[in-house]
Amino acid sequence: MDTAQMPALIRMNRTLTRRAVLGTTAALALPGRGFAQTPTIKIGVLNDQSGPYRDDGGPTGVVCAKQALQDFGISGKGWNVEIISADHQNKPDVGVSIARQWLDRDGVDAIVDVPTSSVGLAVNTICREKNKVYLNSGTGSSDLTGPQCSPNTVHWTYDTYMLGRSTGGATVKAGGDSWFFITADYVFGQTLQRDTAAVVTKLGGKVLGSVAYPFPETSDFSTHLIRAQASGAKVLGLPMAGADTENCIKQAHEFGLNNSMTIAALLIQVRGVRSLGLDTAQGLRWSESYYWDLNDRTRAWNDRVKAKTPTESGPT
Amino acid sequence: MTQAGDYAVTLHYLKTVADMGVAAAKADGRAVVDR
Repeated sequence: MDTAQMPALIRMNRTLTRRAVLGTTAALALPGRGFAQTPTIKIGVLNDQSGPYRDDGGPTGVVCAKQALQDFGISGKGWNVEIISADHQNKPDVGVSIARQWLDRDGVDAIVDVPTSSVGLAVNTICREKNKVYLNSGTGSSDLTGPQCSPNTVHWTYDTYMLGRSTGGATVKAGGDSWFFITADYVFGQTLQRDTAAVVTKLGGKVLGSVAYPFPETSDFSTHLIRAQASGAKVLGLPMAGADTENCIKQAHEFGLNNSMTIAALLIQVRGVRSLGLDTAQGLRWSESYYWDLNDRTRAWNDRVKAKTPTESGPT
Repeated sequence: MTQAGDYAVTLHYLKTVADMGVAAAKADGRAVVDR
């Protein structure tokens, strides 16, 4: 109800009986009775707000979606946009339950981000089933545009094919022709290893071994790093993401692996590199589709969003 | 890149909704992606 009408209503109520007032209020509460509702598009940002992928998506991802709305400029267009968010905790069952509630009960029209491929692929199925829109930024698995391709999904930012081909291809061409993978054991890590290994072998390189670790509950990579070192491979490939990648690289340095192997961080973002520090990140190879210091437009956008981010470290 | 992607994909979605109309966008997610 328009708040400008409130004083008139209150004055009117004073002259009416309680029963009549209740009747009036009930009538006003019915949708569409005498008031044209402004059409509203509802967007839900669904990502990791508390775990290992928080810093690469999380609250700053929500800030970025809201910045898009601000830059779009909804005022005077005759419709509204509402942006809500939730934490899927990297668990497919949690993500599915939130997505279903948003689409079935809360009137959400589009779901944004959804990192963690196991959750992203599940949300992909639900959006297709309900004929809604999935605007994917955080999920990397190339299965999203392969076996599980959906007409209701836009795969926007990166995928495991692009990361594998870019970092894997460049590393082999630079002489890194034997690899060992330490892999997050779920669909994202598996597809990133698969897509990278395909490029490595196609270019004449070899995969000497791999080990899969349980996601998301792993923080100690030492036994896997010892196996990697013992393999004699030139390249340590890391099909993993977020805090896992940072932990693994830090521990690789503690073991001195960076002296004998090239580390290919198959998914890291510049925020992660800052967090590692220049000494530890020295010699890393990785690929990104966005870099804040690329040109005037990226620098201006970074400045606009930076002040609004929870840590003020800027968007990644 | 994930967060920058959240910005860009949301902005493009809003432009698409503006182009096709809110009612049509709400009614058919597939049509939004097709646009």
